Amino acid sequence: MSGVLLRATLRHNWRPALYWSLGLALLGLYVIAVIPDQQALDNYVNLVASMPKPILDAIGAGDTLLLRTPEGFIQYGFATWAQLMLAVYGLLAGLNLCANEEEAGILDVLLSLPLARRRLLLERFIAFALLTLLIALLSALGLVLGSTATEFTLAPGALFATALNLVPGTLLVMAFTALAAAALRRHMVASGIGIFFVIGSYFLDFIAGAVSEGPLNQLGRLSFYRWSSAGIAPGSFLPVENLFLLSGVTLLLLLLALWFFDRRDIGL
Amino acid sequence: MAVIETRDLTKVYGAGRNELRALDRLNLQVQQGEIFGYLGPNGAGKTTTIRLLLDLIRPSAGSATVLGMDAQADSVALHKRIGFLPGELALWKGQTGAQVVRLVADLRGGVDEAYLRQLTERLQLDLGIRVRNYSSGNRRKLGLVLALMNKPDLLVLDEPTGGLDPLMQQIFHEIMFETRDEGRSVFLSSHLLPEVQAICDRVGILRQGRLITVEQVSRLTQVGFRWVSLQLRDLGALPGRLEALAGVSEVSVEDSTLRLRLSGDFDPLLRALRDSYVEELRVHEPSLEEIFLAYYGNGEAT
Repeated sequence: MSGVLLRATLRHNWRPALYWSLGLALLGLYVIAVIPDQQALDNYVNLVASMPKPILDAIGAGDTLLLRTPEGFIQYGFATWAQLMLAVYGLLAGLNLCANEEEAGILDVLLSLPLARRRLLLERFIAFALLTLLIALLSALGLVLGSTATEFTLAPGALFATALNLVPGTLLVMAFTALAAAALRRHMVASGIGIFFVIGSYFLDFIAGAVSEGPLNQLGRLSFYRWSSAGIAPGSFLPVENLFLLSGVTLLLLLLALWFFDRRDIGL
Repeated sequence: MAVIETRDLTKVYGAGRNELRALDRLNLQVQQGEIFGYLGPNGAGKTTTIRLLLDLIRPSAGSATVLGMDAQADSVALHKRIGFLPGELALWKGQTGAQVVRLVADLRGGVDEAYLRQLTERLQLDLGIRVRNYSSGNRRKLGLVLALMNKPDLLVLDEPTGGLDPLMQQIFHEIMFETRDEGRSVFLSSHLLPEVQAICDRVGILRQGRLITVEQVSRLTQVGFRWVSLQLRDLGALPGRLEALAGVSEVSVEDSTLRLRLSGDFDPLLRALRDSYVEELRVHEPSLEEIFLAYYGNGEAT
Protein backbone atom coordinates (compact mmCIF):
# COMPACT_ATOMS: atom_id res chain seq x y z
CA MET A 1 0.00 0.00 0.00
CA SER A 2 1.38 3.32 -1.05
CA GLY A 3 2.45 5.67 1.73
CA VAL A 4 2.39 3.05 4.50
CA LEU A 5 6.11 3.22 5.09
CA LEU A 6 6.10 7.01 4.83
CA ARG A 7 3.47 7.27 7.57
CA ALA A 8 5.25 4.65 9.69
CA THR A 9 8.55 6.52 9.35
CA LEU A 10 6.89 9.79 10.38
CA ARG A 11 5.20 8.05 13.31
CA HIS A 12 8.44 6.54 14.60
CA ASN A 13 10.67 9.54 14.04
CA TRP A 14 8.64 12.61 14.93
CA ARG A 15 9.82 12.52 18.51
CA PRO A 16 13.58 12.64 17.73
CA ALA A 17 12.80 15.35 15.19
CA LEU A 18 11.14 17.35 17.96
CA TYR A 19 14.27 17.06 20.09
CA TRP A 20 16.38 18.31 17.19
CA SER A 21 13.92 21.18 16.72
CA LEU A 22 14.15 22.03 20.38
CA GLY A 23 17.96 22.04 20.25
CA LEU A 24 18.04 24.32 17.23
CA ALA A 25 15.33 26.57 18.62
CA LEU A 26 17.39 26.96 21.80
CA LEU A 27 20.43 27.80 19.68
CA GLY A 28 18.33 30.44 17.92
CA LEU A 29 17.08 31.83 21.22
CA TYR A 30 20.62 31.97 22.57
CA VAL A 31 22.03 33.71 19.48
CA ILE A 32 19.37 36.40 19.66
CA ALA A 33 19.63 36.73 23.42
CA VAL A 34 23.31 37.63 23.00
CA ILE A 35 22.35 40.79 21.11
CA PRO A 36 19.45 42.44 22.94
CA ASP A 37 20.24 45.83 21.36
CA GLN A 38 22.49 47.57 18.84
CA GLN A 39 25.01 48.48 21.53
CA ALA A 40 25.49 44.82 22.48
CA LEU A 41 25.76 43.85 18.82
CA ASP A 42 28.41 46.54 18.16
CA ASN A 43 30.40 45.44 21.19
CA TYR A 44 30.31 41.87 20.02
CA VAL A 45 31.34 42.72 16.46
CA ASN A 46 34.18 44.96 17.72
CA LEU A 47 35.48 42.04 19.72
CA VAL A 48 35.21 39.64 16.79
CA ALA A 49 36.74 42.16 14.37
CA SER A 50 40.01 42.12 16.31
CA MET A 51 40.71 38.66 14.91
CA PRO A 52 42.91 38.28 11.79
CA LYS A 53 41.01 38.79 8.54
CA PRO A 54 41.62 35.25 7.14
CA ILE A 55 40.11 33.73 10.26
CA LEU A 56 37.14 36.10 10.08
CA ASP A 57 36.64 35.09 6.46
CA ALA A 58 36.96 31.43 7.31
CA ILE A 59 34.26 31.56 9.98
CA GLY A 60 31.99 33.62 7.77
CA ALA A 61 32.39 36.88 9.70
CA GLY A 62 34.52 38.73 7.15
CA ASP A 63 31.91 41.34 6.38
CA THR A 64 31.77 43.19 9.70
CA LEU A 65 29.40 45.78 8.31
CA LEU A 66 26.90 43.06 7.57
CA LEU A 67 27.58 41.53 10.95
CA ARG A 68 26.44 44.74 12.62
CA THR A 69 22.92 44.13 11.37
CA PRO A 70 20.80 41.71 13.42
CA GLU A 71 19.94 39.69 10.28
CA GLY A 72 23.65 39.43 9.40
CA PHE A 73 24.51 38.37 12.92
CA ILE A 74 21.81 35.68 12.93
CA GLN A 75 23.08 34.45 9.59
CA TYR A 76 26.55 34.13 11.10
CA GLY A 77 25.68 33.02 14.62
CA PHE A 78 22.76 30.73 13.91
CA ALA A 79 22.69 29.56 10.31
CA THR A 80 26.36 28.53 10.14
CA TRP A 81 26.16 26.29 13.20
CA ALA A 82 22.63 25.14 12.59
CA GLN A 83 23.66 23.95 9.12
CA LEU A 84 26.46 21.90 10.64
CA MET A 85 24.09 20.41 13.22
CA LEU A 86 21.44 19.66 10.65
CA ALA A 87 24.07 18.03 8.45
CA VAL A 88 24.54 15.55 11.28
CA TYR A 89 20.77 15.02 11.31
CA GLY A 90 20.89 14.47 7.54
CA LEU A 91 23.65 11.92 8.00
CA LEU A 92 21.70 10.01 10.66
CA ALA A 93 18.54 10.17 8.58
CA GLY A 94 20.46 8.92 5.54
CA LEU A 95 21.58 5.89 7.53
CA ASN A 96 17.99 5.38 8.65
CA LEU A 97 16.76 5.00 5.08
CA CYS A 98 18.11 1.46 4.80
CA ALA A 99 21.54 0.98 6.41
CA ASN A 100 20.44 0.66 10.04
CA GLU A 101 17.75 -1.91 9.29
CA GLU A 102 20.04 -3.82 6.98
CA GLU A 103 22.69 -3.99 9.70
CA ALA A 104 20.07 -5.24 12.17
CA GLY A 105 18.63 -7.78 9.72
CA ILE A 106 15.18 -6.15 9.70
CA LEU A 107 15.40 -5.43 6.00
CA ASP A 108 15.05 -9.16 5.31
CA VAL A 109 11.56 -9.05 6.82
CA LEU A 110 10.59 -5.76 5.16
CA LEU A 111 11.72 -6.76 1.68
CA SER A 112 10.01 -10.14 1.91
CA LEU A 113 6.77 -8.14 1.94
CA PRO A 114 5.17 -6.68 -1.18
CA LEU A 115 7.43 -3.65 -1.08
CA ALA A 116 9.74 -2.59 -3.89
CA ARG A 117 13.21 -1.55 -2.83
CA ARG A 118 12.84 1.77 -4.63
CA ARG A 119 9.62 2.49 -2.80
CA LEU A 120 11.24 1.76 0.53
CA LEU A 121 14.02 4.28 -0.10
CA LEU A 122 11.75 6.91 -1.63
CA GLU A 123 9.06 6.84 1.04
CA ARG A 124 11.68 6.97 3.76
CA PHE A 125 13.46 9.86 2.05
CA ILE A 126 10.25 11.83 1.68
CA ALA A 127 9.38 11.18 5.33
CA PHE A 128 12.76 12.42 6.55
CA ALA A 129 12.59 15.40 4.18
CA LEU A 130 9.28 16.34 5.80
CA LEU A 131 10.79 15.92 9.26
CA THR A 132 13.74 18.12 8.24
CA LEU A 133 11.25 20.76 7.14
CA LEU A 134 9.48 20.44 10.48
CA ILE A 135 12.78 20.91 12.32
CA ALA A 136 13.59 24.02 10.27
CA LEU A 137 10.14 25.51 10.87
CA LEU A 138 10.20 24.85 14.61
CA SER A 139 13.72 26.24 14.95
CA ALA A 140 12.50 29.35 13.13
CA LEU A 141 9.88 29.65 15.84
CA GLY A 142 12.77 29.78 18.33
CA LEU A 143 14.25 32.68 16.40
CA VAL A 144 10.90 34.47 16.24
CA LEU A 145 10.35 33.93 19.95
CA GLY A 146 13.86 35.19 20.74
CA SER A 147 13.41 38.26 18.58
CA THR A 148 10.52 39.44 20.77
CA ALA A 149 13.02 39.85 23.61
CA THR A 150 15.22 42.27 21.67
CA GLU A 151 14.76 45.89 20.69
CA PHE A 152 15.19 44.98 17.01
CA THR A 153 12.30 44.72 14.65
CA LEU A 154 12.94 41.46 12.85
CA ALA A 155 10.50 40.35 10.17
CA PRO A 156 9.30 36.79 10.95
CA GLY A 157 9.54 36.02 7.23
CA ALA A 158 13.26 36.78 7.29
CA LEU A 159 13.78 34.51 10.28
CA PHE A 160 11.82 31.70 8.65
CA ALA A 161 13.89 32.17 5.48
CA THR A 162 17.10 31.79 7.51
CA ALA A 163 15.87 28.52 8.97
CA LEU A 164 14.34 27.13 5.77
CA ASN A 165 17.58 27.77 3.89
CA LEU A 166 19.07 24.95 5.97
CA VAL A 167 16.82 22.34 4.41
CA PRO A 168 18.38 21.83 0.92
CA GLY A 169 21.89 21.25 2.32
CA THR A 170 20.52 18.78 4.87
CA LEU A 171 18.68 16.84 2.17
CA LEU A 172 21.87 16.71 0.14
CA VAL A 173 23.76 15.14 3.05
CA MET A 174 20.89 12.69 3.54
CA ALA A 175 20.97 11.67 -0.12
CA PHE A 176 24.76 11.36 -0.08
CA THR A 177 24.69 9.08 2.98
CA ALA A 178 21.86 7.07 1.46
CA LEU A 179 23.96 6.60 -1.67
CA ALA A 180 26.94 5.44 0.38
CA ALA A 181 24.70 2.97 2.24
CA ALA A 182 22.95 1.81 -0.91
CA ALA A 183 26.15 1.28 -2.85
CA LEU A 184 28.46 -0.08 -0.18
CA ARG A 185 26.17 -2.13 2.07
CA ARG A 186 28.49 -2.04 5.07
CA HIS A 187 26.97 0.21 7.72
CA MET A 188 30.30 1.25 9.21
CA VAL A 189 31.75 2.17 5.84
CA ALA A 190 28.66 4.16 4.87
CA SER A 191 28.73 5.99 8.23
CA GLY A 192 32.43 6.77 7.81
CA ILE A 193 31.97 8.13 4.32
CA GLY A 194 29.00 10.22 5.44
CA ILE A 195 31.00 11.68 8.34
CA PHE A 196 33.94 12.37 6.04
CA PHE A 197 31.60 14.15 3.64
CA VAL A 198 30.08 16.39 6.33
CA ILE A 199 33.39 17.27 8.00
CA GLY A 200 35.31 17.43 4.74
CA SER A 201 32.75 19.82 3.25
CA TYR A 202 32.93 21.99 6.32
CA PHE A 203 36.72 22.22 6.20
CA LEU A 204 36.73 22.84 2.46
CA ASP A 205 34.39 25.76 3.02
CA PHE A 206 36.43 26.93 6.01
CA ILE A 207 39.74 26.85 4.12
CA ALA A 208 38.24 28.36 0.97
CA GLY A 209 36.79 31.16 3.09
CA ALA A 210 40.21 32.01 4.47
CA VAL A 211 41.60 32.85 1.01
CA SER A 212 39.87 35.33 -1.20
CA GLU A 213 40.98 33.82 -4.52
CA GLY A 214 43.03 31.05 -6.15
CA PRO A 215 42.58 27.26 -6.37
CA LEU A 216 41.93 26.85 -2.65
CA ASN A 217 39.07 29.29 -2.85
CA GLN A 218 37.73 27.46 -5.88
CA LEU A 219 37.89 24.17 -3.96
CA GLY A 220 35.26 25.60 -1.66
CA ARG A 221 32.78 25.27 -4.51
CA LEU A 222 32.85 21.52 -3.88
CA SER A 223 31.41 22.07 -0.41
CA PHE A 224 27.66 22.08 0.00
CA TYR A 225 28.06 24.64 2.82
CA ARG A 226 29.22 27.15 0.22
CA TRP A 227 26.01 26.75 -1.75
CA SER A 228 23.76 26.80 1.27
CA SER A 229 25.22 30.08 2.52
CA ALA A 230 27.13 31.89 -0.25
CA GLY A 231 25.51 34.89 -1.86
CA ILE A 232 22.59 34.94 0.52
CA ALA A 233 21.46 38.34 1.68
CA PRO A 234 20.75 37.90 5.40
CA GLY A 235 17.09 37.19 6.02
CA SER A 236 16.33 36.23 2.44
CA PHE A 237 15.74 32.90 0.79
CA LEU A 238 18.48 31.01 -1.03
CA PRO A 239 19.17 32.33 -4.52
CA VAL A 240 17.35 30.25 -7.11
CA GLU A 241 20.61 29.05 -8.69
CA ASN A 242 21.86 27.75 -5.31
CA LEU A 243 18.54 26.06 -4.69
CA PHE A 244 18.58 24.41 -8.11
CA LEU A 245 22.16 23.27 -7.69
CA LEU A 246 21.61 21.76 -4.24
CA SER A 247 18.31 20.18 -5.24
CA GLY A 248 19.75 18.88 -8.51
CA VAL A 249 22.72 17.23 -6.81
CA THR A 250 20.39 15.79 -4.15
CA LEU A 251 18.14 14.33 -6.82
CA LEU A 252 21.11 12.87 -8.68
CA LEU A 253 22.51 11.28 -5.52
CA LEU A 254 19.09 9.88 -4.66
CA LEU A 255 18.64 8.41 -8.14
CA LEU A 256 22.06 6.80 -7.88
CA ALA A 257 21.16 5.42 -4.45
CA LEU A 258 17.96 3.92 -5.89
CA TRP A 259 19.89 2.42 -8.78
CA PHE A 260 22.49 0.78 -6.56
CA PHE A 261 19.99 -0.38 -3.94
CA ASP A 262 17.83 -1.99 -6.59
CA ARG A 263 20.69 -4.06 -7.94
CA ARG A 264 22.69 -5.35 -5.05
CA ASP A 265 22.35 -8.16 -2.55
CA ILE A 266 20.68 -7.34 0.75
CA GLY A 267 22.26 -8.11 4.08
CA LEU A 268 25.01 -10.61 4.89
CA MET B 1 2.01 -27.83 -10.45
CA ALA B 2 5.41 -26.71 -9.13
CA VAL B 3 5.25 -23.78 -6.73
CA ILE B 4 9.04 -23.52 -6.68
CA GLU B 5 11.20 -24.38 -9.63
CA THR B 6 14.87 -23.54 -9.91
CA ARG B 7 17.07 -24.04 -12.93
CA ASP B 8 20.81 -24.23 -12.34
CA LEU B 9 20.43 -21.65 -9.61
CA THR B 10 23.91 -20.62 -8.49
CA LYS B 11 25.25 -18.12 -6.01
CA VAL B 12 28.92 -17.33 -5.77
CA TYR B 13 30.38 -14.87 -3.28
CA GLY B 14 33.76 -13.24 -3.76
CA ALA B 15 36.16 -13.94 -6.58
CA GLY B 16 39.47 -15.65 -7.22
CA ARG B 17 40.97 -17.24 -4.15
CA ASN B 18 38.19 -15.83 -1.98
CA GLU B 19 35.45 -17.33 -4.12
CA LEU B 20 32.78 -19.14 -2.17
CA ARG B 21 30.23 -21.19 -4.09
CA ALA B 22 27.32 -20.97 -1.65
CA LEU B 23 24.88 -22.65 -4.03
CA ASP B 24 25.86 -24.68 -7.05
CA ARG B 25 23.49 -25.31 -9.96
CA LEU B 26 20.42 -26.06 -7.90
CA ASN B 27 17.62 -27.78 -9.79
CA LEU B 28 14.66 -28.22 -7.51
CA GLN B 29 10.91 -28.56 -7.78
CA VAL B 30 8.48 -28.16 -4.93
CA GLN B 31 4.90 -29.17 -5.69
CA GLN B 32 1.72 -27.43 -4.68
CA GLY B 33 0.18 -28.75 -1.48
CA GLU B 34 3.29 -30.36 -0.06
CA ILE B 35 5.48 -29.65 2.92
CA PHE B 36 8.96 -29.74 1.56
CA GLY B 37 11.88 -30.02 3.94
CA TYR B 38 15.16 -28.51 2.96
CA LEU B 39 17.71 -30.28 5.02
CA GLY B 40 21.39 -29.68 5.44
CA PRO B 41 24.04 -28.80 7.98
CA ASN B 42 24.82 -25.18 8.79
CA GLY B 43 26.51 -23.49 5.86
CA ALA B 44 25.11 -25.94 3.32
CA GLY B 45 23.32 -23.21 1.36
CA LYS B 46 19.77 -23.46 2.74
CA THR B 47 19.47 -19.81 3.70
CA THR B 48 21.16 -18.75 0.48
CA THR B 49 18.47 -20.62 -1.47
CA ILE B 50 15.71 -18.95 0.52
CA ARG B 51 17.23 -15.49 0.05
CA LEU B 52 17.46 -16.12 -3.68
CA LEU B 53 13.82 -17.23 -3.84
CA LEU B 54 12.79 -14.05 -2.01
CA ASP B 55 14.97 -11.83 -4.21
CA LEU B 56 16.96 -10.60 -1.22
CA ILE B 57 20.09 -11.63 -3.09
CA ARG B 58 20.63 -12.06 -6.79
CA PRO B 59 21.81 -15.25 -8.49
CA SER B 60 25.23 -15.51 -10.09
CA ALA B 61 23.68 -17.85 -12.65
CA GLY B 62 20.44 -19.69 -13.27
CA SER B 63 16.91 -18.66 -12.38
CA ALA B 64 14.02 -19.39 -10.07
CA THR B 65 10.29 -19.42 -10.62
CA VAL B 66 8.00 -19.18 -7.62
CA LEU B 67 4.21 -19.63 -7.91
CA GLY B 68 4.66 -19.36 -11.65
CA MET B 69 6.40 -15.98 -11.45
CA ASP B 70 10.01 -14.98 -11.88
CA ALA B 71 11.51 -14.65 -8.41
CA GLN B 72 13.40 -11.50 -9.36
CA ALA B 73 11.34 -9.67 -11.97
CA ASP B 74 7.96 -10.26 -10.27
CA SER B 75 9.16 -10.09 -6.68
CA VAL B 76 6.65 -7.52 -5.41
CA ALA B 77 3.63 -9.37 -6.85
CA LEU B 78 5.11 -12.62 -5.62
CA HIS B 79 5.66 -11.41 -2.07
CA LYS B 80 1.93 -10.76 -1.73
CA ARG B 81 1.47 -14.54 -1.86
CA ILE B 82 4.44 -15.60 0.27
CA GLY B 83 4.85 -15.73 4.02
CA PHE B 84 8.43 -15.72 5.25
CA LEU B 85 10.06 -16.48 8.56
CA PRO B 86 13.82 -15.85 8.59
CA GLY B 87 16.18 -18.00 10.59
CA GLU B 88 17.24 -15.10 12.76
CA LEU B 89 14.24 -12.86 13.08
CA ALA B 90 15.14 -9.22 13.66
CA LEU B 91 12.41 -6.64 14.27
CA TRP B 92 12.08 -3.12 15.59
CA LYS B 93 12.91 -3.61 19.25
CA GLY B 94 11.13 -0.52 20.55
CA GLN B 95 7.79 -1.47 19.02
CA THR B 96 5.14 -3.71 20.45
CA GLY B 97 4.14 -6.92 18.74
CA ALA B 98 0.84 -5.27 17.81
CA GLN B 99 2.60 -2.34 16.14
CA VAL B 100 4.81 -4.70 14.12
CA VAL B 101 1.82 -6.78 13.10
CA ARG B 102 -0.08 -3.64 12.09
CA LEU B 103 2.78 -2.35 9.94
CA VAL B 104 3.19 -5.70 8.17
CA ALA B 105 -0.58 -5.97 7.70
CA ASP B 106 -0.72 -2.45 6.22
CA LEU B 107 2.18 -3.22 3.88
CA ARG B 108 0.30 -6.32 2.78
CA GLY B 109 -2.78 -4.23 2.12
CA GLY B 110 -4.85 -5.60 4.99
CA VAL B 111 -5.32 -8.85 6.80
CA ASP B 112 -8.11 -11.12 8.01
CA GLU B 113 -8.46 -9.84 11.58
CA ALA B 114 -10.38 -12.91 12.78
CA TYR B 115 -7.68 -15.25 11.50
CA LEU B 116 -4.99 -13.05 13.03
CA ARG B 117 -6.74 -13.23 16.40
CA GLN B 118 -7.11 -16.98 16.07
CA LEU B 119 -3.40 -17.34 15.30
CA THR B 120 -2.24 -15.29 18.27
CA GLU B 121 -4.58 -17.23 20.55
CA ARG B 122 -3.37 -20.59 19.30
CA LEU B 123 0.25 -19.58 19.67
CA GLN B 124 -0.53 -17.93 23.03
CA LEU B 125 1.23 -14.74 21.99
CA ASP B 126 0.72 -11.45 23.82
CA LEU B 127 1.03 -8.69 21.22
CA GLY B 128 1.10 -5.92 23.81
CA ILE B 129 4.76 -6.50 24.68
CA ARG B 130 7.68 -4.64 23.16
CA VAL B 131 9.81 -6.76 20.85
CA ARG B 132 12.90 -6.23 23.00
CA ASN B 133 11.07 -7.81 25.95
CA TYR B 134 9.98 -10.95 24.12
CA SER B 135 11.74 -14.20 24.96
CA SER B 136 13.36 -15.95 22.00
CA GLY B 137 10.41 -18.35 21.86
CA ASN B 138 7.84 -15.55 21.83
CA ARG B 139 9.82 -13.68 19.21
CA ARG B 140 9.68 -16.84 17.11
CA LYS B 141 5.92 -16.98 17.62
CA LEU B 142 5.61 -13.37 16.49
CA GLY B 143 7.60 -14.28 13.39
CA LEU B 144 5.23 -17.16 12.72
CA VAL B 145 2.21 -14.87 13.09
CA LEU B 146 3.77 -12.41 10.60
CA ALA B 147 4.48 -15.22 8.14
CA LEU B 148 1.08 -16.90 8.48
CA MET B 149 -1.35 -14.03 8.94
CA ASN B 150 -2.12 -13.40 5.27
CA LYS B 151 -2.76 -17.09 4.57
CA PRO B 152 -0.01 -17.22 1.94
CA ASP B 153 -0.02 -19.67 -0.95
CA LEU B 154 3.58 -20.48 -0.09
CA LEU B 155 5.22 -20.43 3.32
CA VAL B 156 8.99 -20.12 3.37
CA LEU B 157 10.31 -20.94 6.81
CA ASP B 158 13.95 -20.92 7.78
CA GLU B 159 14.55 -23.05 10.90
CA PRO B 160 11.04 -22.31 12.17
CA THR B 161 10.89 -24.06 15.52
CA GLY B 162 14.13 -22.90 17.12
CA GLY B 163 13.26 -21.63 20.61
CA LEU B 164 9.72 -23.03 20.62
CA ASP B 165 8.77 -25.29 23.50
CA PRO B 166 7.50 -28.83 22.67
CA LEU B 167 3.85 -27.83 23.08
CA MET B 168 4.26 -24.92 20.68
CA GLN B 169 6.16 -27.15 18.27
CA GLN B 170 3.14 -29.43 18.27
CA ILE B 171 0.82 -26.52 17.51
CA PHE B 172 3.20 -25.39 14.79
CA HIS B 173 3.05 -28.88 13.25
CA GLU B 174 -0.76 -28.77 13.34
CA ILE B 175 -0.77 -25.42 11.56
CA MET B 176 1.58 -26.80 8.92
CA PHE B 177 -0.71 -29.78 8.32
CA GLU B 178 -3.73 -27.47 8.04
CA THR B 179 -1.82 -25.33 5.55
CA ARG B 180 -1.10 -28.40 3.44
CA ASP B 181 -4.71 -29.62 3.72
CA GLU B 182 -5.86 -26.28 2.30
CA GLY B 183 -3.71 -26.91 -0.77
CA ARG B 184 -1.09 -24.39 0.20
CA SER B 185 2.61 -25.23 0.22
CA VAL B 186 5.43 -25.03 2.73
CA PHE B 187 9.14 -24.80 2.06
CA LEU B 188 10.88 -25.42 5.35
CA SER B 189 14.60 -25.40 5.93
CA SER B 190 16.11 -27.16 8.89
CA HIS B 191 19.18 -28.90 10.15
CA LEU B 192 17.08 -30.97 12.54
CA LEU B 193 16.17 -34.36 11.16
CA PRO B 194 13.35 -35.11 13.66
CA GLU B 195 11.61 -31.86 12.79
CA VAL B 196 11.69 -32.65 9.10
CA GLN B 197 10.63 -36.24 9.74
CA ALA B 198 7.67 -35.07 11.79
CA ILE B 199 5.98 -32.88 9.22
CA CYS B 200 7.52 -33.03 5.76
CA ASP B 201 6.33 -35.02 2.78
CA ARG B 202 9.54 -34.80 0.82
CA VAL B 203 13.02 -33.72 1.69
CA GLY B 204 15.81 -32.18 -0.30
CA ILE B 205 19.26 -32.74 1.15
CA LEU B 206 21.80 -30.07 0.58
CA ARG B 207 25.49 -30.31 1.24
CA GLN B 208 28.19 -27.79 0.50
CA GLY B 209 25.91 -25.88 -1.84
CA ARG B 210 24.83 -28.91 -3.83
CA LEU B 211 21.51 -30.70 -3.79
CA ILE B 212 22.44 -34.29 -3.09
CA THR B 213 19.03 -35.82 -3.36
CA VAL B 214 15.32 -35.32 -3.04
CA GLU B 215 13.60 -38.12 -1.17
CA GLN B 216 10.30 -39.04 0.40
CA VAL B 217 10.73 -38.62 4.16
CA SER B 218 9.96 -42.29 4.71
CA ARG B 219 12.96 -43.19 2.50
CA LEU B 220 15.25 -40.97 4.47
CA THR B 221 14.85 -43.01 7.63
CA GLN B 222 15.48 -46.18 5.69
CA VAL B 223 19.13 -45.35 5.85
CA GLY B 224 18.81 -48.39 8.09
CA PHE B 225 21.04 -47.97 11.10
CA ARG B 226 21.13 -46.41 14.52
CA TRP B 227 23.65 -46.23 17.31
CA VAL B 228 23.10 -48.40 20.37
CA SER B 229 24.80 -47.79 23.72
CA LEU B 230 24.72 -50.52 26.35
CA GLN B 231 25.74 -50.26 29.96
CA LEU B 232 26.49 -53.82 31.09
CA ARG B 233 27.37 -55.23 34.49
CA ASP B 234 29.91 -57.58 32.95
CA LEU B 235 31.22 -57.22 29.43
CA GLY B 236 33.17 -60.47 29.25
CA ALA B 237 33.55 -61.74 25.71
CA LEU B 238 30.38 -60.00 24.59
CA PRO B 239 32.00 -57.38 22.32
CA GLY B 240 33.62 -60.05 20.20
CA ARG B 241 30.39 -62.05 20.01
CA LEU B 242 28.36 -59.00 19.04
CA GLU B 243 30.75 -58.09 16.25
CA ALA B 244 30.00 -61.41 14.65
CA LEU B 245 26.27 -60.66 14.61
CA ALA B 246 24.63 -59.76 11.33
CA GLY B 247 23.83 -56.04 11.21
CA VAL B 248 26.22 -55.11 13.99
CA SER B 249 29.37 -53.15 13.27
CA GLU B 250 31.73 -50.57 14.72
CA VAL B 251 31.66 -52.10 18.19
CA SER B 252 33.65 -50.11 20.72
CA VAL B 253 34.03 -50.19 24.48
CA GLU B 254 34.66 -47.23 26.72
CA ASP B 255 34.72 -47.86 30.47
CA SER B 256 31.81 -50.24 30.92
CA THR B 257 29.80 -48.81 28.04
CA LEU B 258 29.56 -50.72 24.82
CA ARG B 259 28.67 -48.80 21.68
CA LEU B 260 27.72 -50.32 18.38
CA ARG B 261 26.13 -49.55 15.07
CA LEU B 262 23.04 -51.59 14.36
CA SER B 263 21.50 -52.10 10.94
CA GLY B 264 18.19 -53.87 10.54
CA ASP B 265 16.09 -55.38 13.32
CA PHE B 266 16.81 -55.35 17.05
CA ASP B 267 15.94 -58.99 17.58
CA PRO B 268 19.39 -60.58 16.89
CA LEU B 269 21.01 -58.12 19.26
CA LEU B 270 18.46 -58.66 22.04
CA ARG B 271 18.84 -62.43 21.73
CA ALA B 272 22.63 -62.08 21.98
CA LEU B 273 22.19 -60.07 25.18
CA ARG B 274 19.89 -62.56 26.92
CA ASP B 275 22.62 -63.84 29.29
CA SER B 276 23.95 -60.38 30.12
CA TYR B 277 22.70 -58.00 32.81
CA VAL B 278 21.83 -54.81 30.95
CA GLU B 279 21.85 -51.78 33.25
CA GLU B 280 21.04 -49.29 30.58
CA LEU B 281 20.23 -49.34 26.88
CA ARG B 282 20.13 -46.23 24.72
CA VAL B 283 19.33 -45.86 21.04
CA HIS B 284 20.50 -42.81 19.09
CA GLU B 285 19.24 -41.84 15.67
CA PRO B 286 22.08 -41.17 13.25
CA SER B 287 23.05 -37.57 12.86
CA LEU B 288 22.37 -35.75 9.65
CA GLU B 289 26.02 -35.98 8.73
CA GLU B 290 25.98 -39.73 9.32
CA ILE B 291 22.94 -40.07 7.09
CA PHE B 292 24.80 -38.17 4.41
CA LEU B 293 27.76 -40.50 4.80
CA ALA B 294 25.55 -43.57 4.85
CA TYR B 295 23.90 -42.50 1.63
CA TYR B 296 26.77 -40.93 -0.17
CA GLY B 297 29.98 -41.70 1.67
CA ASN B 298 31.21 -44.05 -1.02
CA GLY B 299 28.98 -42.72 -3.72
CA GLU B 300 26.30 -45.32 -3.02
CA ALA B 301 23.59 -45.85 -0.48
CA THR B 302 24.01 -48.48 2.16
